[in-house]
Amino acid sequence: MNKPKNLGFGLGLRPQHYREILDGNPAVDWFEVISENYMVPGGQPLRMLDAVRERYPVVMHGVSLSIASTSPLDLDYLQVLKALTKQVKPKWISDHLCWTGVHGVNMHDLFPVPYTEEALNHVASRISQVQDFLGTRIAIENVSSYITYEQSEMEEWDFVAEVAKRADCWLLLDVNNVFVSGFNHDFSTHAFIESIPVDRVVQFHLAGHSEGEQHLIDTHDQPVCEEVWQLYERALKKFGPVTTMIERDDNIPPLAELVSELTRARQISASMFGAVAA
Amino acid sequence: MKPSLADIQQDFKSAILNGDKKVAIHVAKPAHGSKAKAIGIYQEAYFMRLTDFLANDHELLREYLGESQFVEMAHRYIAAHPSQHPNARWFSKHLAEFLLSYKPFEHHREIQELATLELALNSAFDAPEAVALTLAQLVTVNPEIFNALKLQIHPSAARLTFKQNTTSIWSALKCETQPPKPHRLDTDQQILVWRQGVASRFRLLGDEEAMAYDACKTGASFSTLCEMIAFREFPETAAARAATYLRGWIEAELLLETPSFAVRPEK
Repeated sequence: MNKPKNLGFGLGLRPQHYREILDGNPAVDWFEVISENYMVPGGQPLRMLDAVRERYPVVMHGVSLSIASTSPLDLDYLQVLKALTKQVKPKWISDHLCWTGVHGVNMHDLFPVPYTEEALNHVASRISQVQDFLGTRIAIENVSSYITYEQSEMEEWDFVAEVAKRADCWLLLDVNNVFVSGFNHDFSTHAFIESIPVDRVVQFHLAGHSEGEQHLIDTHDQPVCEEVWQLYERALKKFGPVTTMIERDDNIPPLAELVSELTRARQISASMFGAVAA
Repeated sequence: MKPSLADIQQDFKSAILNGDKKVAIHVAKPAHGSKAKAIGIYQEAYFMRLTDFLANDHELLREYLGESQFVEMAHRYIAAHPSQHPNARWFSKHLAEFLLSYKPFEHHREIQELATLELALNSAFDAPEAVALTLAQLVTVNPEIFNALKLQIHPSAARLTFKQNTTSIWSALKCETQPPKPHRLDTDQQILVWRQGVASRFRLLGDEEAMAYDACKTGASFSTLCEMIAFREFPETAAARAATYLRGWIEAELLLETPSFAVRPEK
């Protein structure tokens, strides 16, 4: 099983930064795009994406695959995704280990699943169908959550690892999500990291979160916090150099600020593996 | 019997959309706080996220209504039109239509028109691409052939007709100045919305240009446009007026370069 090449250190492509990226030469190795933002007929989004992908490697990251939904897979969505993939030629495609809707309603959130054998079979089978349809392995990301289910029969990390094995897919390990869920459900983030198979992880997400009344909320509107940087180091020790990105979706700062955060990721990795490795 | 994944998702959906409490039986005791609090994070996030989608697409409507009226309207819209598309981009597409029958604004037609204008501008922004006709291409065409050709309009273009001074309200809001008081116009306002380069824009059309544009949109040739304009008034200058409109449309990148343009006369 040959993992895709390490892309280095990337950022999420956001419209606020289009001009700066194209006019300047930011110290960013690659960009991740939200697939749905470019599932439009034409205009500026697709023109900008074309211009960016001429200069940088691009990875596509979806939010609406709804892989764990018990409604049938949305073939219209998959066809548009496949067409976009042909146009963009991403290094890989990712989405979340969650469901976003059911019975024709999309709630545009990343809802967790109960960690049961039934859900495991269901999700693994659907990932396989999607991979067959797209003709490529996809990467599946662990989500943040605020609830767990009575029905769960295993730990989240065992569920994630088993999904990857049964579906033969890649994993996108969101280090912030591990931290947020670890706090919310009072589990060991180290146990999570240690249980994820090295040969499946193709990408890390780093992001910020906010503090709710009793929970941490995965808002992606803050810089990466110290605890998540420490967990990133821990993850690097376990997985070795892995393609890394900073994911910022709200309260978006100037590009230079994100590049500076990315530099910190670069430095942490360089201190462990040397300057060229992610 | 143990609930299935489908049962759990159904109950979860009802909790998010309708506030049903049944889902709590599936939720494990949280490490912090109560089950209701944890479920509430998802319920709150649902309305906030969808309200944000509407606010992103209707920035000036939100400004015009103010936060509280906008959020109240957004919650009613979210309840009436749950998102059925995987792409958030299309969530707001029914808002202008929804406002036609939204009681609190029934005496404020400008609110519905403002939503309609923003919807048209948003639709133009990411409408399909098409190659625009240039003036340089136009001058190479034999005038006799040209007279018979059907003109094609860019797919981003849309025509609106407003009864209120909504475009003045839009312009004031866009410039972050106090919008004028809404009022009904003496005559309907004809508006053209389209994308030029990567920017969505709109402009007002005079009655004659609106008539010519609408005829062009339905497949009339340039000579037919001239005849219609001549029939309306001042036939001796009809061709010149039609040519002026045509030039303006080409400069605005509203007309398309098509194979038929060069070779296929109107039958």
